[in-house]
Parts: sequence; structure tokens; C-alpha cells
Amino acid sequence: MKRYFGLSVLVLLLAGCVRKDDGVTEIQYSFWGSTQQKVVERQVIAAFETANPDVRVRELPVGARYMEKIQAMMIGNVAPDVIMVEMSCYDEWASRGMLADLTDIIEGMEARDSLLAVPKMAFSRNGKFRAVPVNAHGSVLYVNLDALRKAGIEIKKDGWSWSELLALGPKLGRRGGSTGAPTDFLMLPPPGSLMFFAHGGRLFDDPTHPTRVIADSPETIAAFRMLREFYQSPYVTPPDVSTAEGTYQLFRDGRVAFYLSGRWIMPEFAGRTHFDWDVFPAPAGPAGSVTVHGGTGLGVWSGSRHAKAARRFVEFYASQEGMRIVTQGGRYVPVTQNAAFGEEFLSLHPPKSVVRFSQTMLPGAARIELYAPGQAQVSRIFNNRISQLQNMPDTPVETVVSGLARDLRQWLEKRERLLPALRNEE
Amino acid sequence: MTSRKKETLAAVCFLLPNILGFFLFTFWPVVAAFLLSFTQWDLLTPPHWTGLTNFSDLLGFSHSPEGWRASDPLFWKYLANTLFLMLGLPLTMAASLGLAIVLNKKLRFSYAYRLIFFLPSILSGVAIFYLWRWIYNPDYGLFNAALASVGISGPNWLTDVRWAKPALVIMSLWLGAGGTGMLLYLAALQAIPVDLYEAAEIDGAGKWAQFRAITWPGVMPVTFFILIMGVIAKLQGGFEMAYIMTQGGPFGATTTVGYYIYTMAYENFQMGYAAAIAWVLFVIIFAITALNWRFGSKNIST
Repeated sequence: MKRYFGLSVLVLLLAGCVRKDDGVTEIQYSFWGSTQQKVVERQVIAAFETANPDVRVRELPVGARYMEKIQAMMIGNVAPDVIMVEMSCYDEWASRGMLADLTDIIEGMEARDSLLAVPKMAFSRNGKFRAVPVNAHGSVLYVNLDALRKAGIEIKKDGWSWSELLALGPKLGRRGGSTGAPTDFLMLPPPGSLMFFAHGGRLFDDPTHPTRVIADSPETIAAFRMLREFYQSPYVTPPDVSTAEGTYQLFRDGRVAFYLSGRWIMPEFAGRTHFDWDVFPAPAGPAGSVTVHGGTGLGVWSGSRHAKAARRFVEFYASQEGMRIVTQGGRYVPVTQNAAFGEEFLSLHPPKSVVRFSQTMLPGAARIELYAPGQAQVSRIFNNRISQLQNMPDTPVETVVSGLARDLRQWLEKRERLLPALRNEE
Repeated sequence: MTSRKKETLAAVCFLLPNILGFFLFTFWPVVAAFLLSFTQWDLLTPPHWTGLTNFSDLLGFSHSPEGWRASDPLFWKYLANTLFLMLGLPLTMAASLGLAIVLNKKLRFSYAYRLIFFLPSILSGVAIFYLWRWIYNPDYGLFNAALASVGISGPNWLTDVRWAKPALVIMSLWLGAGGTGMLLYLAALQAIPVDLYEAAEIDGAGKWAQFRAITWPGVMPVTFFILIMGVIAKLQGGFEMAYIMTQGGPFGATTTVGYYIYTMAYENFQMGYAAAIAWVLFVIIFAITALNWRFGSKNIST
């Protein structure tokens, strides 16, 4: 009996090892995001598989720590064939030859419909693309219009400046002491990078090939001063309120009057709020209203054994049909000119002013993100100083700014010294 | 085959899996980390030999018009954080001893109490850290609610630079007081002959005198063991706690050396530098443990 049992187990194991060759190539595709995003990805995959019956796409949704996990897979030589990339990992991977050259796919896309300026610039390195932008994002200001009307605040068509926004606190924030105000708080603490760019701040002389740190400027000091005013305002949510109650939930539940975010959060509000809302340009500073590009692209891993099939998938994703599915998902701004300003996208209400999402991707409206290869590290240095600004109120702003510049110089010196190989590859 | 050879073969067969595991998963990574500490390696491209650069970047100081400046001030800051968090160790040890003394008495339900006090040690760390995040919430947390009931306005425990570290010390005290330390102390207390206490009582010794003359020397070897293991664990630790509760913030106030190694290796992808930090940490642990042995073991009377 035992012998038969052992034999059966062996047969089953062997059967599992035999690969059924049905002429179908299987590729793996990694991405991140919420459950809703997974739905959209599945729709694109299903449409691709229908059009390409010889390719099967195995999805690999990755939760937190996306970059670390995918990089570990690259080292283990088991990375997915198609990889969703964001700006913090794009340069790291592209400059080290981890992503295949997809410039020809971009050329094909542009033959049909020109790419929006910001996503195009974001993924272009010396005229080459190692990822194809598939969605574009810039932050906009979500506004609770009912709250503003109740507080007797004029709704400005072109949005507000940072200082105007701060001044609205007493009219809107109950928890700051204004009993009778329509919302608990004015807004959540603003992101440091938006304030920095809106004041004309710059970290390096050249964001993609930095040679000099120029962060200790009057612009940075002005931006950080304004940030500190927000952090110290009783009308701005203290950090632990958002930790406990979420961030977008505070806007959805009518507890903050303003909320800064991208298009991806929109489905959380559509049909889920009990008030009238719309989107406006990100608050302006002396350098105008500037947002940060947060779009994503698709890359093909250079070690992929199914590169052709992987490229076909990327091509399909970036095609008109792929873009249409992505657009209808409601969470994304399409990356091509006609799609982003076309009827199909602009008819996706709410919000009423949906076009403002597309406008963030016009030339000059968004910064590509901070900074050069090594962006993740630079971003960490920047955020660390923002944390100092927020959590150490007695530290003078000038000290924080000079600390930021010092940290960046140290990073740049070390980078120059230790990465000659990387420089050659760039 | 002689019976002696058979025995040797059997012993080798039994030991082999463990030895292989040790060489593959402990010894080799340690050697590899040592070699890597002399390289610059971003994981994606081959390592570049950089000699002692990582160590000089980590431990070096330079002189500028502003004064002496560490090449990597963050390392020193995080080492100071790690040492600060070690303040919890003597407190935890004292609490463990106190609990063990109480539980060593013939109380009703003493087994239930032991179980209750030991529970934090067997619960999932992640769940406990999330629970404490809520306890420390300034608006809705238990701590500030308790403080508010006596008219004190509690701080932002985990987001205030001044309070984040003490908050973690308090939490580790709760976590560690009833843990393995308490069990070890309990075992040590039960090994002290009752006759000694009876004789001391007859001689008129009070409770404090009994503790000093009998209990403390009796538990000294265990205290020394807990101290050594605790110092090693505290110097290496703090990662899980910081990762879940504070992400190392605010402004790096709760980043420990262990967390810094992780950040360098898996967020900044500087494996060589991370390996260098790990080796420096090893030397620090080794030195402190050696000092403990050198001076601590003198006080032990077994």
C-alpha cells in the first residue's frame, strides 16, 4: 500500500514538472496600486490577450516597497518581463541597463498622437526612452465648494495662492477655534515639494546631471517659512489626525475644505461625498502654480526571455485601445495630447473641471520631480529636512535650509566619487 | 565498520544539516558581508572595490571653518538613538525582577498572572506595535486620555522629536518586563534555598536586608546573562518597532543603527556601505560584551 502511495506521489510530482507547450508565451507584468487599479489592469490584460491569443499575461500586483521588491527580483534574475515604473526607480534602473530601449514604441505612439510634454520629458533621457509613459499625474486642489459657500468665501476660478489659502483657515477650521466654521480643518499639511517648486526652489544646477547644490537660496527659505506657517497653523490637521483617520477620507467626509492630490484619488470621491466639489490648480507661489509629475510608465526588463511578447504588451497598453481602457478607469490622465484633451476624457464627470487634470501636464505646469539619478535618496534627504521643519519648531528655517544644502552636497560628493561607472553609463 | 566508526558516522549525519545550514546561512553571509564592506555595490551592477572608503566615510571626521564635522553625522545620531533606547534595558530588568519576586510568592492564581505577564512576549510584534500606535495617538489614544483625566495635556508621542524615543522606551518596558527575563528571574529565585531566608529572619534581617544579602547575589548570574543578551539585542534591534511605528522619524529621532543598515541596503541600495555599518556595529557589540565580561563577571558569585 505504502509503495503504491509513494509511486502515486512521484507520478503527480513529475506531472507537475512537465510543462505543457501549447504555443502560448507567458509573460509576467508587475504593477502597484489599489483594488480599483487592479481592475483596470485586468481589463487591459484581458483586451490584450483577446487580441494576442499567443501571449498570456500573468499579473504580479506588488504592495508596499515596490522598488525594493522588483530590484531584488532583478538581482535574482527572476524579474517580471513588463515592469510598471515610477520616477523614483526609472533613472536607477534605466541608467544601469535594467530596462530595454523602447524608443521605437514611443515613435509609433507619436505618429498617431503626440505625447503630452511633461510625461514625455519625464521619461526621455538623451533622446531615448526606457519606459513608455502610460498615465500622467499632477496634483490639483480638490475643493469642498459647499464649505466655501457656507463660509462666504469667493470661489476663485484660477485657484488660490498659498498665502491666500492659509488666510482662509479661521473661516473654515472649527478645530482651530472657529466655532460655526463649516469644516474641522482647512487642509492637511501641504507636501514640501509643491511648496518648494511654487516658490521657485531648486536643489541642483541641473536636475539630471547635477554638479552643484543650489538649495540654500532665498526661494527655499521663503518656501520653508511658508511651510512652517502651515505646520504651525491650528487650522491645518496635526499629523496624527491623518494617521488615525486617513487622508482622503478627511476630504470625502467633509472634514477638510481643501485636499491636494492627483487624479488617482478621484474615484474615492465620485458619488461618495454629500457636498459639491471641484478641482482647481495647485496653489500658486511666486513661481506660479507648479505641480509635481507623478505619472508612471511601462518598461521591459532587459533580462526578459520573452522580450518580443513583452514589447507587444507595452505597445498594446500605449495604443489607442489601451489608452481608452485606462481613461475609462477614471483614475488616470491619458498621456497623449488628443486623448487628454479629447471628448472621451473630458466627459468623465465628476469633477466639473476635469480638464484641469490635463492642464497640469502642459509645458511648464509640472516639475518632473526632484532630481537626477539617485532620486530616491535625494527625496529622502529632502523629506528628512521637511520632517525637521515640521517637528522641530524651535529650529530656525535658515538652519534647516543650510542643513538641507549640506546633506545634498555630501550626497553629491559621494556620488561623484563612488559612481564613475554609473556616470559613463549615463 | 566498527561500532566507534558507526557512532561517528551517525553523529556526523545528525550534525551535518545544522552545520551546512550554519555555513550557508550564517558563516558565508558574514564573510560575504565583510568582503562587501570594502566595495561599492548597488546590487544591479557588479561590485567595485573601494578599499577602506566605506569605513572612512562612516567613521571619518573632517575639519572645516565651521569646526570638526563627521563624514556621516547620521551614523552618530542613530548610534546615539540606539544607546538612548538601551536606557529601557535596566528599567526592564528591574521590572522583570520585581514581577518575578511578586509571582514567586504563593499567590492565588499565580500561574494565571505568569501567563498574563508573559503574553506580550508571545504575541505578534507587528500587532503589538500597531496597538501601541493607537495607544499613543494624541487625539484618541489611551495614554493621552488618561493624562487628560488628571488635567494634563499629553504630547504628540510619536511625532514629537522630544517624545518619540521615550515613547518607544516605555513601550519596550511593557513588552520586556514580563518576558523571558521574568521567567529566568523566577527560575533563579526558585533555586535560592528557602533555609537562607528562614535563617535571615531568625537573625532579625528585614525584607530589604534579605534582598540585598540573599536574593540579589542569588540572581546575579541571571542578571548578568540578561544584561549581556539584552545589550546585544538592543544594539542590533529597534528595526521592527521603528519601521512600523514611526518609519524612523520624526526627523530620524527613532532610527536605530539596525534601521540605518536596512535603509542603506534596501532603500539606498548601498550594500557595501550597509555591510560596513554592520561590521562596525559588530565591533561595538563585541567591545561592549567583552567589557561586560571583564568587569561584570567579577561580581558574580556562583
